[in-house]
Amino acid sequence: MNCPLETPETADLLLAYCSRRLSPESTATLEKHLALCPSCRSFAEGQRAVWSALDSWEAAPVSADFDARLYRRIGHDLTWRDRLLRPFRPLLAYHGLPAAAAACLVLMAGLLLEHSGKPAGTPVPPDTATVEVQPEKLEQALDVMDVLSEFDRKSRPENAGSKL
Amino acid sequence: MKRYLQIGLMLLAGSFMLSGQALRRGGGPVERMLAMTPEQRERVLEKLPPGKQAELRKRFEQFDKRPPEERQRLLRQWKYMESLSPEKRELLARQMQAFNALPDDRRVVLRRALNQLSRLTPEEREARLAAEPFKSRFSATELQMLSDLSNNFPVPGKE
Repeated sequence: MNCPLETPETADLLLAYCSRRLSPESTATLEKHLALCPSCRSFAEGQRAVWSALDSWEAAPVSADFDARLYRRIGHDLTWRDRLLRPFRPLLAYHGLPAAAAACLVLMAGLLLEHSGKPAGTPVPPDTATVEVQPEKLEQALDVMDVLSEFDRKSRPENAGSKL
Repeated sequence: MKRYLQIGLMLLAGSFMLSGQALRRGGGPVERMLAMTPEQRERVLEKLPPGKQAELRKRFEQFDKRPPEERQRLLRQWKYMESLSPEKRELLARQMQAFNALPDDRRVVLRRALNQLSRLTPEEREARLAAEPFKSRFSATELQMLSDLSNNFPVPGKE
């Protein structure tokens, strides 16, 4: 068997052996090599020390309000922009999709407004159909405009234009 | 790059469509009626009683005879009047009618005074209206007319 530390193709054999993921046949072959190779033996002992340290390590218990405090902190650190964009983040991953969606919305709104209230084939402009006729209001407005027109003419200084 | 350009053009076209609609549909019934072509207006008028139709038709014809810039200005001034409280609107309309009805010689004097007052700040205007030499040139009714008009209506030609 070639030395695993000197052969890149079999380098992971040692790691698999130390983490006990190697088959019994491969384990037996590797242990024969370890008995002869001090470099591999030293490496394997180091790895074994790490694994035994990890096996004996116990994580400190998490306090009851850990989650609540964590989420509070995450929420606190987020900017307004992040909070607004968070629900749309998956969509934003596709470049051009937001712009295309906005374009579609604007066009749809435009088409809806263009054709709303107009029966197909009827040449009547939409404005005339939707104007509520209030003769009194119209007359009143025209009266006021007559007064305004006369006032405009009579109060205007010589050689001056109106500004309002 | 080409795709972004297409999307940009689509957005631009949509915006134009929307803004065009907003302009065509903007304003109240009076503004919309005044902005209509005679044919469009006729379709609205035919819903009214015949007598009213004829009356309004004649008024609209008179309005349409005015030059376009005058029509726009009148519409602007009318909208300004509409934005005022009913009391102030009524007061202004009454004082304008009174001004229009003044004899020619008095109207010339008041017109000059009105134009001078309109160029002043509210404080200066108040001081001028209260100044004895100024007051002595006008009757109480004329002074009130000058005060109401100069304080509430931008006089034509004012810079």
